[in-house]
Amino acid sequence: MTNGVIEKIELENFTIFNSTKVNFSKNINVLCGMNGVGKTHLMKTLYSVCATNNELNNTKKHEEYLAQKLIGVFRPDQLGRLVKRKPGRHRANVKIKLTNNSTLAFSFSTSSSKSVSTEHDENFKHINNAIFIPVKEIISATENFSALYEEYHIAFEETYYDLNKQLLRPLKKGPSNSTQKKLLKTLEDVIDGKIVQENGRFYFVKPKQGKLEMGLLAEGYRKIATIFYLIANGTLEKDSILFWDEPESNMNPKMIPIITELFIELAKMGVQLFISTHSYFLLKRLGMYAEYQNDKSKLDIRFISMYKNPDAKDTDDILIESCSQVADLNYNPIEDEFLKLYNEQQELFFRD
Amino acid sequence: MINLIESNMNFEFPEDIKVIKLDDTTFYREHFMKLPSSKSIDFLIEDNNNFLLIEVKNFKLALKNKDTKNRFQTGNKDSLSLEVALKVRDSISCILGATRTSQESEISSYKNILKHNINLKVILLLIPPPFYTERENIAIKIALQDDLKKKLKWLNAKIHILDDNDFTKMKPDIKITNTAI
Repeated sequence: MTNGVIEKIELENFTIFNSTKVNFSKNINVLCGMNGVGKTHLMKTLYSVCATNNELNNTKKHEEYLAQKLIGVFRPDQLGRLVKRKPGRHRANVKIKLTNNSTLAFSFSTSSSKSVSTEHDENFKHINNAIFIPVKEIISATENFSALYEEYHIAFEETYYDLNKQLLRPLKKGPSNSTQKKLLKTLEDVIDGKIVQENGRFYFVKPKQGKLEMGLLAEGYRKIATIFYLIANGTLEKDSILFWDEPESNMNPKMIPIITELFIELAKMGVQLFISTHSYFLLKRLGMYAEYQNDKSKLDIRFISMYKNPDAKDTDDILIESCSQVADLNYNPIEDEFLKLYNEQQELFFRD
Repeated sequence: MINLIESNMNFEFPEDIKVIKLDDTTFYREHFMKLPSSKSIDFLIEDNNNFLLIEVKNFKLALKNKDTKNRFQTGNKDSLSLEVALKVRDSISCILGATRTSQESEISSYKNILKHNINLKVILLLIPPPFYTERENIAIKIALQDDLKKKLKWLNAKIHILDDNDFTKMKPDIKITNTAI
């Protein structure tokens, strides 16, 4: 049985979602939408399921581990609080289908605390390695973070803990493939140096200038350093599933062409990407690639706009629109805001 | 060599490029224009099985006033992007009508434009007003192009907004010279 990537999710009464279905691309999925429409929730749900399957061993029950993962990743007071808040008693139902045709369905009620009910076929365990890069960076605080997280109740989502563990994996033996080498070289050129790890701490090493502690590096560069090391240590490889929440945060727009190229190359390498963004530049760059440069590689790039149903203001219903070209999105708050800014600027310009 | 004048600019087309001014054709003047408010784009071009619908807008002598502002903003009835989108809609209708009329041949020889697998480009050749800076011109092109793309997504065509320099880079065989004083 071949491993699968994510093909589809169906959510019912789960967090913000009443009843939502989303089909995904096996290459690049770009999620956009206003704050509070569930972009991160969608990615966290998918990640929780993938990570549970990646991490699960025979000593733990799947139902309990998945519940624990959802609590760790979303950090509700208790699991049942992830059921959509509305009058009456409800169950949250989530169903995920992989490209290998296997499915996993799980559900829980408002009173659930430690376990979910699951239904899945045997093949669902063949799921690719998942990585979640949250909005804030963690590479500057890796030392002792895992031990702290394991021993104390600290208010960090589990995505940080998971990423921390992935970053601290030792470098992989053997040569990287040509795409990985190319990506590492590109990233090295961007930050003009290398990233090394010593005793759980990360350093930036610049030629002839020695080591710089990661905390002294600009935040935008720390994100580049994170992806650099995940590629270098073999965590992010062919067939991985990468979730990256707002990659543009703390990055100057000048860095956007580089991370766009990174996404394209990772997708060509076989990584399935889920990117949530509020960045005009990132959306435009990926849109330009899809419109003008995708003839040869024929990547399936899907722009997924999430928005509240304007006809059902009281119910907070989330609707989904999915297109292969940015211009085809009817609901695109990023471009709408650019146009609004442009029109306002024209208004002021002509007032002089 | 074919010379056509539009918006105070002379366009010199080489012989191997097939071009017409849509609103100069008999079919357009005698039939299509009878539908009130009908408009058309300026040039219809066939070049190696690529079709171009070109609208020329020259704001070189435009004044900095409310009318010009409305042209460059989006979302109002006078905006350039709306005008061009409507002209494209009318032009496609005109080509379809001409194709269905047996006597007509001037426009209907471009009937392949209606086929689904044909490369079709809509170009707004925009000469901006002199009072905008270079950066403002770029913002204008992006904003109007995004808006025009949305308005023409039904057409499945590539949409470009270009100034004369960009246009010459894209079609170096078409020479543009200003005729305005």
